[in-house]
Amino acid sequence: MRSWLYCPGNRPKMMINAHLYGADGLVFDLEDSVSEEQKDEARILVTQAFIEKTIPSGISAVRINSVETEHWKKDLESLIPSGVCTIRIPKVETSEQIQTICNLISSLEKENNINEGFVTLQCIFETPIGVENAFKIGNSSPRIRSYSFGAEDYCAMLGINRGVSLLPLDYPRSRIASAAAAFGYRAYDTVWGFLNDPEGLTRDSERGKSLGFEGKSVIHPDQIEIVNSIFSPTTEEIKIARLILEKAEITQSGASKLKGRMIDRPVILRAKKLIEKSESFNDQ
Amino acid sequence: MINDVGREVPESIDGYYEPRPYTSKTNYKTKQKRSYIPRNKSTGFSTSLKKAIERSGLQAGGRISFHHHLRLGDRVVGQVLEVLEIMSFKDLIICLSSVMGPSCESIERAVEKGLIRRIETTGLKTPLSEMLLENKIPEPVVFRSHGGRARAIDQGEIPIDLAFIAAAAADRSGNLSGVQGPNQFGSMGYALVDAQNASYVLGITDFISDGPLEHISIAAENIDEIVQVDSIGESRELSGGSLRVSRRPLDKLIARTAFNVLASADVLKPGFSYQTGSGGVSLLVTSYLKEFMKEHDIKGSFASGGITADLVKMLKENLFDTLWDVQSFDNVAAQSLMENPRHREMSASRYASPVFDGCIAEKLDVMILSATEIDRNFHINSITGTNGRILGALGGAPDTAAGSKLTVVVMPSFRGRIPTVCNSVKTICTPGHSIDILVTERGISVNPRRPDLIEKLSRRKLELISINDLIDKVQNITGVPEIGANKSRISGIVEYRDGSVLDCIRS
Repeated sequence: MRSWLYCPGNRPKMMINAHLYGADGLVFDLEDSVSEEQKDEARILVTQAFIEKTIPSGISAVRINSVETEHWKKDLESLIPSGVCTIRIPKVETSEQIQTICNLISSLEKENNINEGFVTLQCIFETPIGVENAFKIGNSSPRIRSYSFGAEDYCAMLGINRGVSLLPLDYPRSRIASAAAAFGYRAYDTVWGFLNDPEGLTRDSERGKSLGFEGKSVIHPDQIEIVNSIFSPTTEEIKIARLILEKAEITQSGASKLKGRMIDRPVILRAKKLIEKSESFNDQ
Repeated sequence: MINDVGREVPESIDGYYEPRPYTSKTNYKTKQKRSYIPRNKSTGFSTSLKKAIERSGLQAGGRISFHHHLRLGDRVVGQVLEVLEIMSFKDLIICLSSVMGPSCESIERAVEKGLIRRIETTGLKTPLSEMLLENKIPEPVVFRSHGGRARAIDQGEIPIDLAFIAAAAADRSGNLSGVQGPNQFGSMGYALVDAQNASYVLGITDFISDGPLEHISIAAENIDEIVQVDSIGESRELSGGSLRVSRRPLDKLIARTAFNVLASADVLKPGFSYQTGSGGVSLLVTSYLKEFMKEHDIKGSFASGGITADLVKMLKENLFDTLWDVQSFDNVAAQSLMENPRHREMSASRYASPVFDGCIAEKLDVMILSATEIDRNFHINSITGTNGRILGALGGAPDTAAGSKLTVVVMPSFRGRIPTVCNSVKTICTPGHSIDILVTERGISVNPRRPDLIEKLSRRKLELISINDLIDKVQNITGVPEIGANKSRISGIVEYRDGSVLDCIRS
């Protein structure tokens, strides 16, 4: 998944069109983009959309409210029976939070005759504690599939002015991407909130990609094309990967050289992954 | 009587001529344009509208005409109707190229006072639209396309007794211009046909140049008298009405898809000609087209119709040889018409009249239109919504759709939970045989009359959906709206460009 488009859960018109814009994944939001007064309304609308299949459930996740709020239980109680298979959890800080959530999900799966483990999790780290604990949390549940970074709250807590420089976010990004890789999870980068700054989005996405993220969340359809393009393998990358694989097949030995570069197992593995990735995007 | 698009046309309609049902086999070649005779007299000057109207010989029940080039900034219609009211005129027919903004309120008042009994136009806006639906206009409103209006005037079908022609400037010889003076508004294309055919022609301006005009839109030989008024309106309100460049993601998606259709249909070749309507999506298509033409070094022959700043920029960048301007949509276009000899003013007849040999509409390669509804037969509605409310105008859609080699309709598949892609449109404004492709956010449908396009677009891997499947897909989301039964009283008549009756609006 190169791009995850956020869509407020209280905006049915946006929800019904969200899949049209070319994002690889959709996140229907019950958290920050929904005001306190509209939490119930949004929950009902999103649940109903999954029941009536007016949104493509296979590529859709729902961001529930944080475990620190009064809403998260109601969110799960409403969503799980409706067939939602991916839950995005905001402001994750500890393994205990994940276990608490998983306990409720397991009992809801059982109650609703849903296969155990059907529901998977995406964890968003948005606070310094969460960022520091990202590695420790990795083992907390087999339901976890991906890690995401949420920069806005993180910046607010550290007093960082987002948009001035990309450097201050290298640390949390690297830590999250590295922790995700340690457990074989996908890693998705934070949103870029400046809608009229496509150049900034480009730089921010490139930075995330260079630090190990394989995709990014977006908050507007206009951002999808840029993000998809940056997180897709380039023609040059594909060309080199093919050469590496050809070379490896010819030599059949542990290590070889291609244009002065050593070709060994990790390089071959990466080339294979890149080709697989490019083929999967071409199929879409 | 049932016409060729399946709509009932009564044998007689109160307040209308003998209705001629639309047939798809019109032979325009049998029709002749009325011969044009220049006025053999010098133009008079006056500062009194009242005296000029007296001199015109206008009688109660006569037909007066206006153009709408000043769009929302027009203050001429209001001034004239006020004087006519003071002069106690009654039962006039008002024939406009279109009407919007404050002019609608002036006409509403004139109808209420008994000054106006019938409105003939390409479109109208609130409060006139409500008046129509509430049966407050004594005779049915006659909707004609720009080409249909020009043809009807040229052929003497709707004789104009007195044409009021707002001009941005006049000179002492009696020539009129739309591009000089403090309130320049650009092309006077729709007014030229009125000037050439009306029994009496009054130019109305707020600026008389002592020297000769540099740019003449309508020559003195067509003008009987010029009246100087304090103000014709506000040119800064020119870019209003239907013109709106959209930034909505859904519109961008539709526009991008429509552009991909054009690129895949092999029509964007050197020398191609192009026009869009004034809807937000249509205008967006032009911006994608511009980038494509630059990137592939393609130069078009002409762009036509309503001219915008974007098209002017494309002309300056040499992406088109010529702009044919029947209406300038903004001040940049108006200024360009003054300065750039490759930016040409054209009359409504040259633009779209089916009896004008080689009219521009019939030379078009690509036409992009928007609509309020489209149905299984590709008939489009551009005047009313599903609920019968007046939302748009005919404009030049029936003319350009009929003339263009490729006509693409761009629209969202539903608006406000009401499907716009539907079983049967509320009002047929352009027959489906003129429409080639529909582009919505939920799919591309090609008219089965164009198997060549189906084959070509499929070969280019564009995913197509039949119009029937698209309707089902949309109705799965919206449900099928309950349409109220048609009422018996005919309050509007939609004429096809040949003057036959395509549909009736009942209220």
